[in-house]
Amino acid sequence: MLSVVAPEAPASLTQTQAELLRGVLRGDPGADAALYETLYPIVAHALQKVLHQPPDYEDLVQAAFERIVRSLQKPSALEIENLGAWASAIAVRVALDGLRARIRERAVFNRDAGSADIAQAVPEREFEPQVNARRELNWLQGELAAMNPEQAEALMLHHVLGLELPEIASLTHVSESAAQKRLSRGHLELKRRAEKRAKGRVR
Amino acid sequence: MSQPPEVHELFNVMKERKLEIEGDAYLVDRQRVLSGMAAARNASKRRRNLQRVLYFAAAAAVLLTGGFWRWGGGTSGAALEVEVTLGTATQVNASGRAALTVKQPVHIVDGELATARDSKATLRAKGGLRVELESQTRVAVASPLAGGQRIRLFSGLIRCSVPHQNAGTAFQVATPDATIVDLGTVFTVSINEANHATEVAVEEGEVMVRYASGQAVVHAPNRWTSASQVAAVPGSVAPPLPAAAPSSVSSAPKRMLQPRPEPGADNLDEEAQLLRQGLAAEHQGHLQEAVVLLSRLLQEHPHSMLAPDARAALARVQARAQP
Repeated sequence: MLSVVAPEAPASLTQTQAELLRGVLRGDPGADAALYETLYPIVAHALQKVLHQPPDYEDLVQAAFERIVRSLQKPSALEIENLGAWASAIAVRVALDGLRARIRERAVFNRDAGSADIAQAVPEREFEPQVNARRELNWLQGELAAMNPEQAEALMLHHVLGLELPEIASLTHVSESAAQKRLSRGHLELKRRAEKRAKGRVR
Repeated sequence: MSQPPEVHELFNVMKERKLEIEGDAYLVDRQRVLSGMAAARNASKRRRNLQRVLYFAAAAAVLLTGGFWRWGGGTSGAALEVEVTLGTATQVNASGRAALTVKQPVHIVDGELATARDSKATLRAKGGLRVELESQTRVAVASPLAGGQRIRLFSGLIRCSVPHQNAGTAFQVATPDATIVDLGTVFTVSINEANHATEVAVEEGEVMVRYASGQAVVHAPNRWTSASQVAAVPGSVAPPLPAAAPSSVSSAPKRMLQPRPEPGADNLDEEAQLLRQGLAAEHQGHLQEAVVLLSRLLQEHPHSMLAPDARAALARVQARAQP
């Protein structure tokens, strides 16, 4: 059974951050707004890095902040050491959920396109850099959405947010060896998919 | 054989993304987010309390939960009753796909719903909200945000009857290019098949429509279309935009579950050219010309792979063009 989290913030947070989180947990007026102002750039950056400019951006921001509040009420919130990294990790999870929902929608409602890689449907030409970047992004998003979620999350925390193993382990509540395993398996899987794609292009 | 890039190189496209906060494409309703945070905290508290009750009185709590669920009044208040009134509909959620037929009401919490040709369905929520789906309409029902109900319209036409509510529980309809916020009225939202524009017709009361470059309040018996909002720079020389089909809110779309047009090679050339010219015009300071070109790209190719870039550029240009 979940217990109510004692509003004790860990020592590694600054005094201001600790006060802020206590205020949010108590439901103090103004604390939510202050937390939003503090974390919005961090959440926005993580969402934009993964999704670039999603049509449901506002929904995703809201979902991220709701998840932040819910996560603060869990016992694991006592382990928060770096508020920014913690919020970024939550935003990445929300982004990953958004990607999976998008892929699922495409698979169910667009059977003609199916799981076909849009990028591969476009012949090689001299296109604008934006086209190539968008194509690469679409491919990567599709593969991350299709991969094991824990491995995809570990890959994004490491490669997109630049976090190292101890931080990834802490943020995902697993041991360092488990985090290492997820990351290395994710690497292998994504590499396999990239090789498959490269072979497909040659044909 | 072309060599695949190293794994870390694959992420460059994400890593190198710069944060954008000021652009219109990244507008966030701060108040809505704060309401959502408060609702999430309260919901968590309620959930914990409920868990304690469950721990000590499992059997009674299960019965209680079952009773609430049946009547659509669980702690989340999210359950919607779906009734197909004509023809058939398809429901899709995480657990799969199910066909729904006439007079077989079901309850859904989230997922997607699509009506077939010559079919109609009605969604009802606790509190009196009623949403009628016309033929060949596809919507997604999300878990309630900020205590309100939110429906995403992908295609077709819906008619919403909303009882009076306070701002914290406003009913919202999200479309690809607008969000319609309602506080108690009757209105219709449709996606124009020809230009993919959102069209809103208010029958009673008023709604607020948020779109990429601003927001508008629409009073009954007026209509609003996103097609007239794309090139909204003062003094813009944008070409005439395709007019919203008159009375299209009362006519059903023609096809069901139509896949979005894929960005084919032919289109991509034209799209890339429009984007390149638009960016060049922006670079040279010809903002009105940039608006025209970028708007044209978004109008003619709303599902282009380049549309996000065009939207971002358009928002940037419009911000620069403000006096």
